[in-house]
Amino acid sequence: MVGDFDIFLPVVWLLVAAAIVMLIDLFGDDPDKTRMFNFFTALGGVLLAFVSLNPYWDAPPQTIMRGAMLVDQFSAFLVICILIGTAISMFASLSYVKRIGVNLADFLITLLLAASGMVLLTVSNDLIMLFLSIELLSFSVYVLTGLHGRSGRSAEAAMKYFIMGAFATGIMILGMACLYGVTGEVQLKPIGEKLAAIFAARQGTEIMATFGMGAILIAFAFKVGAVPFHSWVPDAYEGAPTTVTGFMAVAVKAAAFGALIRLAVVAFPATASAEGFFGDLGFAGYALWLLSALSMILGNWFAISQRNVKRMLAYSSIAHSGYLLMGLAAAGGNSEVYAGVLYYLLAYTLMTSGAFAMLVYASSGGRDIESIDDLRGLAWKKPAVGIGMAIFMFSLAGIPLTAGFMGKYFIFTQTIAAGGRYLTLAIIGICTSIMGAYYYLRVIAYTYFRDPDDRPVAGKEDWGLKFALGLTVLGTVFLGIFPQGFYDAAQDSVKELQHDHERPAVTAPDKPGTVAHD
Amino acid sequence: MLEPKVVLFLAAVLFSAGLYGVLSRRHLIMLLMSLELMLNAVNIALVTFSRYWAGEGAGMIGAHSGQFFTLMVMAVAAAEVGIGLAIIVAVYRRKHTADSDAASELKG
Repeated sequence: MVGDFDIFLPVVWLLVAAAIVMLIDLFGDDPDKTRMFNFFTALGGVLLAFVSLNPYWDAPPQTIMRGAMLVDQFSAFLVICILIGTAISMFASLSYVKRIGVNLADFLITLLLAASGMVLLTVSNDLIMLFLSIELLSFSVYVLTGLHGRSGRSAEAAMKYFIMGAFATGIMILGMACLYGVTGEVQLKPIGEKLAAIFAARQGTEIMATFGMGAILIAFAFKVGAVPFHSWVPDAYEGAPTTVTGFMAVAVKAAAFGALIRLAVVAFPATASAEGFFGDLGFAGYALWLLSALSMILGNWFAISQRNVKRMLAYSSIAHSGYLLMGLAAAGGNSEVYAGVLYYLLAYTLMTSGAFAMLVYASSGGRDIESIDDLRGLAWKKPAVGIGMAIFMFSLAGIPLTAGFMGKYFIFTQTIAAGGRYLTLAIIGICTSIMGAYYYLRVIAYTYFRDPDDRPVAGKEDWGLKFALGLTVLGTVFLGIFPQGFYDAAQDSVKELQHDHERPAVTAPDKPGTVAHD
Repeated sequence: MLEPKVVLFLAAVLFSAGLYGVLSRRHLIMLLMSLELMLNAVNIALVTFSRYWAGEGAGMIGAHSGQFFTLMVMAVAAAEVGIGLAIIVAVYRRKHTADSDAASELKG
């Protein structure tokens, strides 16, 4: 039996590791001497968090803190994605942060705090928890973006990200206040029940409820970088240190999509039908349709004209948000269908953090990869760059035998099965994927078929980076060839979500302080 | 006792003022102030709703969450100012201006 405290363990381990690294950095004399110790402490925190997830796999969902948090297999799946992204970012940064003049401890502390915010976001079952954890992860990521001390662009990126992010927070908290105002509840489950009643009765309050849900949806669209709320993405991704960009791209997305799915299934279910995301609201179904279509079209379109590789990957991440939103739109609140989205998130975690780690590896000669011209003929000077980059780009483009292909396959088949206007969306998605293949394959063409320049390449890379690359390359290929086990796990996870959706609101009211909602 | 409607109107006006400030101001400090105004306007709304639901006889959690939420938002707003000012200082050191138009290195 899992006690109350055990539920916090994944977060606790991350925070304990962050605290230890902080203390060592404070009292240690020489940052260079404690570097490896800091690194392994942080890594140990991530591994312990990973191990302490075990009880939630194949276990019934549990609520704690009077239902403020809900731990189930769905959150466990997302936490695995987040922890993988965090670990890969840590390995890839081992020597990179030193090269760009950042103290490794600063980086690790902020990264662990961001990861703990993300873990909390996936288990949030209450508007207050949702708000706090989103802020914890956002603040940490703002700091990570601006960590590159010597670069003016890093500070500028942090500023742009901060202003847009804080603005989105304002919108989100307004939406939450509206939902609280019409329902008088903060927990997702009672909100869902009250909202269903409000939309059935139609006494005028449904306008405010609609407004609140729309505002929350806009805020999440900001966080995942969906068009038209994407303006910060290219700047923040370009200006941030490369390993941070990889972390931002994968972990923030996994956490935000997890929270959005939970909101969609638990808080906004109404009469969940294929017609509309929020049941008879309908508008949100169209809103998601539009967000997804715009993200896929404009993300891929802008990526084509980019010469800067990081910027290109930023626009590609907008396009991938579009594919994920397509899965969300087509699921229409029916939790069984979210398995494809979860699988895609796992695949996306591996291939994107791998692609960014590869940029670090390719640039470890001291010069950063900026323009795509820097990759010219690199495959002949560094064969690993050619092969690794080819695998990641094939995967991002969605070419068979890679994780990205299977992810796209699951999402597209589900979207096509949903029929109606989602069929149009799937066709848009397929056309834009083909468009996307152009700029992904261009990277491979540059690494293999252009004459190399005469600039020297780096000799020695550290083992951390190599380990991160090996892990992501293997994972990308493995997920592409043997997807079934992972897809089954994803399906089990979303079944839990549905199961909880059908159960009464708060379980185990064995404490006298627990008060019923009505 | 004030009617909730009146207080909510005040909150809406303040929020709109903050929104307008974010969209029109160019100075980073003014932007930060406008962002804070948005959050604090929502605080007023939350407290109003909390009072309203207490009057309606909602349960413990329902009635008091609004006030608790307000406390959390205040704490988060303070942290936001801390991070925001740090970022503004970092920008100012490199560009020698706190004008958001100066941040134009990244584009495309």
